[in-house]
Amino acid sequence: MKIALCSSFVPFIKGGGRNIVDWLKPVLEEAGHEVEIVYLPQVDTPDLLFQQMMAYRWIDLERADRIVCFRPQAHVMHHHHKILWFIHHIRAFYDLWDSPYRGFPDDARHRGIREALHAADTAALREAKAIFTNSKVVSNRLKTYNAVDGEVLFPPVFEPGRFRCSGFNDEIVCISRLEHHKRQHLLIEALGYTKTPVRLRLSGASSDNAYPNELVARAARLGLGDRVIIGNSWITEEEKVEQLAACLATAYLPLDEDSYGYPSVESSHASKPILTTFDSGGVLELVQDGINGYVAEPSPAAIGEAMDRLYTDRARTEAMGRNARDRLVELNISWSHVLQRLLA
Amino acid sequence: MKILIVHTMTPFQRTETDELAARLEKALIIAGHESEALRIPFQWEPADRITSQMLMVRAFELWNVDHVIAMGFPAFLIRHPKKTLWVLGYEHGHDLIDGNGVVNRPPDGEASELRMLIRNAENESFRESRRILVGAETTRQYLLEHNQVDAKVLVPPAGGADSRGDWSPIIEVLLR
Repeated sequence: MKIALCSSFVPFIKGGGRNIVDWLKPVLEEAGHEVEIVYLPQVDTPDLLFQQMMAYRWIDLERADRIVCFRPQAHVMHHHHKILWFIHHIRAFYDLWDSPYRGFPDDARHRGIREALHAADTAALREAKAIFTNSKVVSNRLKTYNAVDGEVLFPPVFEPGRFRCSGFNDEIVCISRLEHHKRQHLLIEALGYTKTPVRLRLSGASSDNAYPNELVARAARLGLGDRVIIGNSWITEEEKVEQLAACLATAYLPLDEDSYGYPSVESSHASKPILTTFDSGGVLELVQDGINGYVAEPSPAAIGEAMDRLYTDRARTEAMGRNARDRLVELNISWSHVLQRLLA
Repeated sequence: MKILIVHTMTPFQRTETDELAARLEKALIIAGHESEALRIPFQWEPADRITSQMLMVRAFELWNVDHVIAMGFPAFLIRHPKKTLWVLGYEHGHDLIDGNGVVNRPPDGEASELRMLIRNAENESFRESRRILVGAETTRQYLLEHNQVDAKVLVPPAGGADSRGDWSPIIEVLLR
């Protein structure tokens, strides 16, 4: 079958939104399909939304037997067999309207744009042969705002078979971009509260140096010394596999994210429990407190206490690691399931 | 510098333009720039969809891009304040519309209207570009005759993108 994977992008900015597309391509090809990736530009400036929507509407992909659309506004594309794997709305006009992230006034003009956008989105969603989402959070939003149902299809990670467990050292690793909303600062503060020699390793790059510098300064202020390693750069995939294989556990506690986050799935493939917080959003669809990780209160003291428990109660830590792996099966997080649903 | 290569692609076909754009992207990265490609789906057939695909390109918004190198119609209609055109083998598409090709001949009256519409869009895009480069002398003569534009010939280098020597004078001209 000829399948076009369609999404939007901002040139030179990489992120999870591209992974879901780029990782699906080789899996479909291996299953014998011809695959074309179509990334087209999109900026979320309110006054430019409808002009760009027209552009997406005019794309001619009739050569494809079906198209799978991901990030807005790819979902408005016209095709006789359109499947959506919807990963988020243009959130400023949806769940972030009543938040500091809206970025424009709540006035008649923007309310008008919101109304028209909701109507256009709903119409485009209804054209699809099937709608999948990457999380319960996104499915709930589709139901609330557009009155359509979306089946949760959790995105697996790239080549999950390479992850393994080689033991449990003293290190909790957090492999993620160093950004304020990923809250690595909470982990550093928490380390200051620990009573055991548990260690922390942060691996990931940042869009600028301000936040990594702040993390280094914070660690120095707390006198954490070599108990924390802050690596402000992308690690290779091989390094990631090694860090996950050897670590005690992983930590992933972003502030209210839509989906469970690839770091927590990679951790589960390596049979390592996940430390998160109850306000981390989609991560809680994966992590169950005391089963495959700890769900702590988002305070340094509570997170520090959980870090100590991971260090002292090794038997339980290892058992939670095994459960983390089992949880992937329970939630059907696999490429074979993805193919079965997308190609149904 | 963040350099976006914008080119036309035929879905499910790997063309010479795809290959050249990939080599240019690699060469730009080797030369110390950030580079990636925006591949815009386009087909000459059927003729009645050409105009909407032109509008599509015109309606896209680019952000976070310092310089655009645009190859081929209608990719070079993209709007950007710093745009260089590198037009390769362009006359072929017009042959189709002019009825010299084997496919896609629109009805007679529509053909001349479509040709004029394309010509106007081309000229507007040529006016807003910093430089107009073409891949061959035949293309240069074609643009001179039909658009009264005197482009400069810049022949793509043969061989791999790994050779810095092959590409550095080309990149220098493209970014001038």
